[in-house]
Amino acid sequence: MTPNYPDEALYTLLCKYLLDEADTEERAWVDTWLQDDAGNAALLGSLGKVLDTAATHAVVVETDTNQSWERLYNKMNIPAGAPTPVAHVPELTAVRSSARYTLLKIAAVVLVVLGAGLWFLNTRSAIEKYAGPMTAKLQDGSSIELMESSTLEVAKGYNSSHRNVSLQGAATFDVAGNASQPFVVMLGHTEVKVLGTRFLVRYNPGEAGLTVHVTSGKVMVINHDKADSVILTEGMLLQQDSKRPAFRVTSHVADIAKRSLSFHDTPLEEVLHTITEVYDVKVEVENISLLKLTVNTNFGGENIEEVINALAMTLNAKWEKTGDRHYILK
Amino acid sequence: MLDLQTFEHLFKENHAQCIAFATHYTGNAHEAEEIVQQVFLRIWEKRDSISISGPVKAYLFSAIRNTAISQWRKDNVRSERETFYGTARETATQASDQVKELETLYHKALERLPDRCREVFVLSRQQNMKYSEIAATMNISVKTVENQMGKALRILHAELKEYLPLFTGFLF
Repeated sequence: MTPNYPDEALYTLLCKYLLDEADTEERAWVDTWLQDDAGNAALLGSLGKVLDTAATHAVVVETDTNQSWERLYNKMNIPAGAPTPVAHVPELTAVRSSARYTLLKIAAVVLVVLGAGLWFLNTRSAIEKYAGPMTAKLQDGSSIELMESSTLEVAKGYNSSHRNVSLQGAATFDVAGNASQPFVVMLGHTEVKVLGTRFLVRYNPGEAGLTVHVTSGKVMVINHDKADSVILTEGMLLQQDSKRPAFRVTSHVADIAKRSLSFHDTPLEEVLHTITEVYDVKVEVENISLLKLTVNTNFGGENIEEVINALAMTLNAKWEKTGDRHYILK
Repeated sequence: MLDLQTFEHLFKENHAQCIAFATHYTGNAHEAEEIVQQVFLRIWEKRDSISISGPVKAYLFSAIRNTAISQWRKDNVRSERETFYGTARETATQASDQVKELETLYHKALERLPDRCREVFVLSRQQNMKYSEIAATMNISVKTVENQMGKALRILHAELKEYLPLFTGFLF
């Protein structure tokens, strides 16, 4: 067994020596030190083994630089006529890392409501176009039920190098699971990346803004304009509009269409955050001690005043409407 | 000003390395890809004003690191992450029980390192970066890198030294 030395400076110097970062003087010092005691060489060998062990820890991650370039190119707003990227065979890159996710295989149900301003037609590379009402069957077995006046474009290379689609209108997606290739709904500079196998998307032209709700599973929403992205899990709601361009995220939403909310031992502050986002109202709390209380209740489609009233009763508090979409709990 | 051809070359030349680097911070290749896309898109959008001084790789790595850490902070607020930098572990190979045990020992020891110390160590050993490159990427001095490496090596050695004979020829 090799000894331990309390002096960290020695380890710093030996580390530099082993990694070829030491200067001439430092190397000379270590060479002399090695002659002093046989145990010193054993320690150096032992430290070298620690460094080598760490360095041999590698996994292989597949990267497709040309496909990535094509994705980037699509976001760069290059005028027509500029040279276009070409498809290419994926390359394998050794990544010296332990960090790898197991991609999610759980079912995902997502409701996406988008504003008209976010629609983006990826005409450069789209080869298949579907118009509703109809059910589109894609190569990978995914099935997309398009509502009336809805269109879906499937980009070139679908199921071979990517699974990217663009949607205008409303559609229910039933996506085949593929852990190595996430399903991506492209919405201008915003993307909804589904890390699951089944989800629902609805896009309503004319409504300003973006709403993504996850009933179960997990999705990633990416806004390339703001260099912002967020992972949403079950019960989470994301909203964004032109007046408030940053993603606003809240949770405890079981069904956004029915305004079904579910709170279990949830702090009032969190409850109010959810209600504020779902009903687009402001709720002030006059009696701050109320914020320490937790709430155990479910809502299922009540109007805002019914919700505030029920909440006040649960908390043994009073409420008052002080303006348009403005309430006070006291 | 950066033209399209130069930018494409810059991207293709560095993409694989950038993904490998970003994966250390994101824990998976998909998020790494998003981070790298964000960084390059930002460079393109600021091509009129951007000026990359020093080695391009250090600039890219530094931008990726900052973006990944900022993303990680936001995600921590919004939703619980399944992993964090340098701690998630799942091997790609079908390892034997003994190898798995040794792997677990190594990772546990790595997890016990202070955050910055672990980051420096992982960049050195798993990205094979020179001290000067780590310093530029993390915006710290080379001296700090040296000290953090010494500290990491002392702690890991103390944790693993009894098992080191078993690590001979050990590939994760």
